[in-house]
Amino acid sequence: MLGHQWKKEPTKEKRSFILTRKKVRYPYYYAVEQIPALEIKENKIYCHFCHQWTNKEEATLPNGKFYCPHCISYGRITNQDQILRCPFPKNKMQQLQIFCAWQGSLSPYQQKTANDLLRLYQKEERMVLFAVTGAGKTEMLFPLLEQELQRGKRIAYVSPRVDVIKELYQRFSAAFPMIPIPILYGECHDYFLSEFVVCSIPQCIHFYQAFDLIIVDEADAFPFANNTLLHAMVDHACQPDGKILFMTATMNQELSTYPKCHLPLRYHLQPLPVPQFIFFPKKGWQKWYYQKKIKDQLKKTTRRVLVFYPSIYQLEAEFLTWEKCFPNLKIACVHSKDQQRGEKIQDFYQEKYDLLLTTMILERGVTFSNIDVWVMHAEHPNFKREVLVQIAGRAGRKKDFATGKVIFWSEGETIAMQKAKKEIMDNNKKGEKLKHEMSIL
Amino acid sequence: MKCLFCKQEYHPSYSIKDLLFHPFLGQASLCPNCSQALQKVDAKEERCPYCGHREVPCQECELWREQYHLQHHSLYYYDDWGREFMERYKIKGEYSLRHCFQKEIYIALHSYQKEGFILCPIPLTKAKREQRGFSQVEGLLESSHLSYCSFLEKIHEETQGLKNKAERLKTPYMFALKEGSVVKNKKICLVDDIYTTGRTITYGYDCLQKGGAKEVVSFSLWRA
Repeated sequence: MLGHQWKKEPTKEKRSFILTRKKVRYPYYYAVEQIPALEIKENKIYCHFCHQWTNKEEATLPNGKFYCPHCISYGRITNQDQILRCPFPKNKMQQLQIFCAWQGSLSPYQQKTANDLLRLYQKEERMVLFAVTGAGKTEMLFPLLEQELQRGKRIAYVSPRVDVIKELYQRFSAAFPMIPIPILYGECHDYFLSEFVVCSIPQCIHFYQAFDLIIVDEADAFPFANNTLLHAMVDHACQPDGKILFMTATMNQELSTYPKCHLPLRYHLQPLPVPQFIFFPKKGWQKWYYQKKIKDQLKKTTRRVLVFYPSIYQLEAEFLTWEKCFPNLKIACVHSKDQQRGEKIQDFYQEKYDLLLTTMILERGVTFSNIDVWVMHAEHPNFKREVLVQIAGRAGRKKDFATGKVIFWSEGETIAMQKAKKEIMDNNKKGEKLKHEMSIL
Repeated sequence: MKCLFCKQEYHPSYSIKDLLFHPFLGQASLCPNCSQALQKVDAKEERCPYCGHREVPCQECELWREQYHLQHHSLYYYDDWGREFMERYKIKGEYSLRHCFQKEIYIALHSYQKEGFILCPIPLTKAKREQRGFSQVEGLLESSHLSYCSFLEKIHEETQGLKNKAERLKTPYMFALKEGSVVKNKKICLVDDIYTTGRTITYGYDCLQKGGAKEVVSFSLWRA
């Protein structure tokens, strides 16, 4: 399969694309380096594919072999398997003049943050770009990307969310038309050599010390947050002296340890919509509330409404009540197990529905114009602080429709709800302060 | 604790009975979400007394009622969850999943052992075993700390998994008694992972009966 293209001399170039024996799709497989997949130490084993240590007891098969339980979803690796490292060819890239083809311009606030980011990038190895929802994080990256690509560096853009990957792939391909960009995620892994790669975080396992800069978008999102396996993958995909930039709209404890640049202002300079709390019972009296309170709120608004539910079970149960109470409205519900998920979301983009009921899948990365956001049963433990802030950030993202109402329907206030509201108000305050400072200058 | 199946953190809740009698107290198993998704075989439900099928005048058993007197017991119905589990456990080879049903299998099979039954797992071919690295049934039994005795060996290379019902029923004889194993006047409980049409179990049953076993019952984790 690989034989005729093999050269046996070992290569010193370390940055490489990793393959297991089972999957050989990489087109540049000359000078393949073979190493045993598992390294067996005294009472632990080390996996060279996913870079994790495992106790021997957990990893032993009855026939005396060992396997790695961490990366089993990529196919089982035992100590008789080998992994192939295909080093990238040296200096094979065309020396094209790379520039950013994005036509828009950054607002003075975004420009300032982008310059801060460039400055921080010189000094630090790990950094965070922390900007509120709808601040234009991607656009602020363009100066940095342009600078690094011109220097011939290799860059990866990764995110735990596949929806985000797909959308950003479109935007990056439009902004850098002279570089062919490969996109890698679960169902799609056609890799070709390029300076710039867009991929989902689980696909990072295929790169070993390959990038000078890795940009991790939505770094506080499930499953990346607090997952040692995914963190190890990103760290090993990066060069030892390479840099990692995390991007997020909601800080968590882990990210707050890194130096950050902060932009508390949306690109259209309007404040973030502050959530309003309205009582809604956990159970009982619900039909009355639907017919009375929710009808009142629906009459008040002229916008379409995106309604969030804490779980699929509750969503499906109350979808029937919605249909009964509001037979005149066009209502749809969408969740992660829905077959027509993509189509329904597209229909909502095109304003075919008045109401879309959903679970946490639309929590981040999506932009609908002219909507209100409601959260039903906001007291549910699934709605953590960062989730609520992200959900509230779905409203008023477009310049022409910069306002939107955010309502949390709940029985009582939880700490997460209060913290979310406080964070949004703090950001608005900081934004006002920043506006004031800039206007004096 | 981490759920073995979905790898999510969860807090196990033990009742007082569990604290006193739980055979594997403090070991990770399935989280409440995963165990809720399972469809348990209800003991009170009306089922076929021989194979445990949900249709009560059971047509499957009619075929071989004269020949074999099955007494089959299974734990769960084989639904999408079960399919995903078996694919990960058997085909992908995630051996750590054997601990998922530790307690349930122990409780079910320990009662057989008390009655004097010897557990006999349905065997694999040598090639399969080498390729997979383990036998799925023996893995389940070992994780529950149950002693067993393999009386049978497989003589055909074929597996039942990829066939349809008609093909399965036509399968030629699959098992033979291992050399030197004596089953005469013994009470034996056959253990398999999935019971679909019953072909595998009936052949095992037949083989043991011919060897002179006193009584043969059977058990499977899943019931299609």
